[in-house]
Amino acid sequence: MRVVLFLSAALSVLVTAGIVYVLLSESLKFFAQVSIISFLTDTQWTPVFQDKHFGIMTLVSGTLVSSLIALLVAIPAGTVLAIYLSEFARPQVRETIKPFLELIAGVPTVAFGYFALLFLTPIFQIFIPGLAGFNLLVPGIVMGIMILPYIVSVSEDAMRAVPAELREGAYALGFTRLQTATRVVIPGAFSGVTAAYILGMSRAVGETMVVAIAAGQQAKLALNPLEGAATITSYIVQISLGDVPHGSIAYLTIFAAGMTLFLMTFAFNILAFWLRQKYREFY
Amino acid sequence: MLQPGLSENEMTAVTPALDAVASKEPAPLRASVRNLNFFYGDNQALKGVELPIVEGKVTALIGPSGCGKSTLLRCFNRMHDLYPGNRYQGEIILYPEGINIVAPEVDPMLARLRIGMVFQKPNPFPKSVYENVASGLHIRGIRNRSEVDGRVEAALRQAALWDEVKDRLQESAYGLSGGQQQRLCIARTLAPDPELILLDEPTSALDPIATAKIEELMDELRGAYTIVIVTHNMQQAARISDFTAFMHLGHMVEYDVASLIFTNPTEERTRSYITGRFG
Repeated sequence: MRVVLFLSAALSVLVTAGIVYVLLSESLKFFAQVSIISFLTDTQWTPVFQDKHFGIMTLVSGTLVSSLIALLVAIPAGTVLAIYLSEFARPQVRETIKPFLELIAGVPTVAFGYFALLFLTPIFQIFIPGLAGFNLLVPGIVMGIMILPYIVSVSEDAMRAVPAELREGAYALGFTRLQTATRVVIPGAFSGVTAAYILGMSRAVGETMVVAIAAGQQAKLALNPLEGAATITSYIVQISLGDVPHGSIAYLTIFAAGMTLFLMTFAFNILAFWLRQKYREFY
Repeated sequence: MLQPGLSENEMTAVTPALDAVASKEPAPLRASVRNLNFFYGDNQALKGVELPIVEGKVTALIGPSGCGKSTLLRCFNRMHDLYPGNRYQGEIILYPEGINIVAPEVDPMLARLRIGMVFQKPNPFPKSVYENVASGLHIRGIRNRSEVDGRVEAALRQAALWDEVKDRLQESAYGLSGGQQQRLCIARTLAPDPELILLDEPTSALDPIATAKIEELMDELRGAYTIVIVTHNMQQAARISDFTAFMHLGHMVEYDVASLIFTNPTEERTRSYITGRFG
């Protein structure tokens, strides 16, 4: 029995190690042909053109812009909702709202992608004249809605973990409910709440379908969210679906881009972990 | 002082004790519990409780677990209002105005702004030492920097903590020891200058040395503040209280000058409890 348990634990480690190995070895083949400096500084990304450029910052910018938009939606809404659920809502209300949030989390991302492209973008175009059919703004907002349940549930857990004695101490001192929430509960849940934000960011960065469908495929430095741009993930989808020959430089870009994505989410997770350790409260 | 016509046998002991006090000196009351019933849902936890709280004195509530002493304490600042299904019946009159703080039309916030509380387990906020003490002032709209600084220092001095924390006011309160944290919570309670201080077994989570410091502190606060303390520890009640009330099964069995309760109680149940035969 112990052996079985050990093997299943070992399996997950092995799978991770295998992914890292494939990413690393294929990326190394890529970087044997393209210098890291031009990879990081070039402002064009044209691996399948005659004139090949490999500036990953184009894809990174698309990823970051859409993810930041997602966070601008999800952090305020998620925090307010988490405070409401943890501090204000009566149990019946909480038990009604939470399944709805879980429902959002259960919607297939491809549905969100078409929701962004075919429903929300035309509506937004009425109000924002310069908005392109493929853009980063709407997929960003939709990703924000997608990561909302995640941010709410992680930060609400952190808030509810703040012990009742702290709340009673605040009320006994004459704090109102809102003062208790903002001055005691949130500082008490700080590490958990920031971890929720960062894990939400790392989800948005890794999200694929919504941006692949609604943000367009054009790899360029994405400074204007009203225009479309490829992200790391949507680029990988695009190349994987195409017919680039195995072993070609275009094929190897998948791994270089994948490695970049991996390092970004890895950095976010480390940051979240570090914040958790540093600001963990010992009640 | 007390209403006439308290015919329940639990109450018979209360009136003579008060008369004894009143005859020696006029004892102004800070608060007075009158025929208080309290219900956790359908479960009645306090039954017709009567208790005077004498101004500037330490009143201790003793009794076995489940006797209702903490429940009674938490009625004073309406802590029970935080949880649904709780109900008060009767009066806790706060003087000098004579308002009934458990009346449904009275905002619980009013009681909490005037009555401070220290809990069983030290519960400093996840903030700096300074912020912990200043927070009660801030929410009362006291924002003037020099006034807040002065009152924070005064409260920390009163709580005998100033010398230990004056160089680490901006550090997290969680860096303090358990005893220091509890004194910080006392300072936090003192800073807004409460009219009544409730202490709910404030030393039960502390070691004997930290406990001794808190008891010493309460002795110093006597006179300047009116204190009601719940304690499991009868020696503590005997050491620090001026008046002691013994509760059992939600009833106020006996209330008297502390020395009388511990040397010559009127009620058989009190005698049994303080001699360690139950509880």
